[in-house]
Order: sequence, then structure tokens, then C-alpha cells
Amino acid sequence: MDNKNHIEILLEKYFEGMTSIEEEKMLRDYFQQGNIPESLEIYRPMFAFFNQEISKESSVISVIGKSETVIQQTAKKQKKNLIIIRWVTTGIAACFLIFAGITLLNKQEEKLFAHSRIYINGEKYTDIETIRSGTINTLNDLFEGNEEIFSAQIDALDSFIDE
Amino acid sequence: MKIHKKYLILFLLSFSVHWVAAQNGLKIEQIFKNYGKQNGSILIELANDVLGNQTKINLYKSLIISSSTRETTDSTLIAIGYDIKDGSKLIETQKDGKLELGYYFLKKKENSPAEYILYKNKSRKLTLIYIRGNFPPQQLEQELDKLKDLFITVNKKRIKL
Repeated sequence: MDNKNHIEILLEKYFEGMTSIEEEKMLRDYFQQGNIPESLEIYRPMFAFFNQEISKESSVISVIGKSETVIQQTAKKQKKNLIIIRWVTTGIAACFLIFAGITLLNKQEEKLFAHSRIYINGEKYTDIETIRSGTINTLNDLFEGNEEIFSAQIDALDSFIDE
Repeated sequence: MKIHKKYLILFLLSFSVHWVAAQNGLKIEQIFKNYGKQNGSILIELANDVLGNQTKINLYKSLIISSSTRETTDSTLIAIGYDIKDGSKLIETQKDGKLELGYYFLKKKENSPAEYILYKNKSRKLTLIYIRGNFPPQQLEQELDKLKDLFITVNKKRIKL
């Protein structure tokens, strides 16, 4: 089978809508070349037109591809910005927590300094009479039998206190 | 996963703040916390409302455990040992190889008030006192006496001792 017959068979298939993509490409390539028999010359403009359209589509696809790349790059940048924003907000939140933690601790200490109290067997009392007797009992108990020991140490303290 | 990571970092950060803050405190604070509110204990915390300006003590905390166990004694001694690491012993008496009485002056930090730990453990009765104030160890006894006297005129009312 020579080339011309083969093209004629492909053309028949083409008009019947039976050609594959490769066969259609083969036809387009064939009609792009200069050496075409007269009997087939009639089909050349048609395939030339198809070639033009296909190349237009390709350029559109390439533009779309480029646009997609730009979009992807923008999305990447946005994602990066979003990560930075997230870290900044996390940092701010962490600073706030640190500040709140320190403030809370200071307040707790202030609170401790604000009111005297006594716990007896786990029960809390704030009346001065109970606190008084508790404190005096504790101090008396501490000093009991140790007054002399304590006084004897006082002079010895001078040596390191002034350091 | 990323969100979890973020919250984990946040948690660790906030935890580290509390951890750092806890490290600034004393180990005996844990003894007051652990044993202060249990049966057989008396925990006293004196603040400005009682202390006022009549004494140089600006914080007083005491704990009495009426019948201390080996565990409470050991943990108290470990805590004291840690806290007085760079401090000075003012008084220390022992009986049968066991510490019975100890007065300690903690290492003074710059521009901070002086801190004292007093410990007594006799006949299983454990007493632990923490004092903070702007006075040297020579004045400790005097300030403790003042503390007793404070209660005589508290609230402009004379109280019989």
C-alpha cells in the first residue's frame, strides 16, 4: 500500500469519524508538507486550518499554564504570609500568656500579703484572736528552752552579717 | 496536626513561665502547701494587716505539725537543705544525730529583703517558720519579740497575752 492510498483510507476513516488521535495527527502532518498529490490538494486548507486552531489552543493552554504558575506562586506567597501571621499571632498570644502568668503570680503574692489567716486542721480562720493565739503559741513553742542558745549565737552573727 | 503543634508550643511556653516562676520560690513553700491544711496541722500566714509598720518583718509563715511522721520530717529537711544551700546556719542543735533545732539565714539577693527559715522538731512536734524582712540576723530575736507584742494593740484593742 503506497502512501497516497494510505492517506485516502485515513481520510475515509476521518470523515466517518473513526480515526484515532494519532491518525488525525498523521493526516495533519501529511497536509503540512509540500508534496501533496493533486487529488488530495483539496483537503490541504482544511487541515491547515485545523493546525492553526490547534496551535492557537496550545498557546492558550500555555498561557493558562503560565497563569496557573503565577496563581500557584501567589498562593505559595499567601500561604507563607499566613504562616508568618499565624506565628506572629502565636507569639503575641504567648507573650500575653507570659504577661498574664506573671501578673497572676504577682497578684497571688499581693493577695497573700493582704490578709492574715490561720488554718487549723485544714479549716481557715481570719479572726485576729485565733491568729494571735496561734502565732504566740508557735513562737513560745519555738523559743521554749532555746532562749540561751539563741542569745549565745547573736554575737557570733556580726562576723558575717556585714559582708 | 499543625494546630496541635501550635497549641503544644503555647502550652509549653505558658508552662515554662510557671516553671520559671516556681523556681524563684523556695522549696519549703511546698511543705507549707502539702502539710499546712491537713489534720493535726496549724498553718499561719501573717500579712500587712497584722504586721503593718510596727515590725520589720513583712511576711511570716509558720507551720506546726503536731505529730510528724518520718516522711514529713525528711521532706521538710530536704526542702530546707535545698533552700539554705548558699545561706548560713545561725543555730543548729542535734539530738541523737537528728536535727532538733535550726535557724537559717538564706542567701541575700541584691535589693531584696532578708529571708529566714526556723525549724524545730522535738517529740515529733515539727515547727517550720519562714520570715522575710528588712533586718539582719542580729535583730531576728528582737523582731520575733516585736511580733508577739504586735498582738497586744492590734485593732487599737488591748489583748491580754
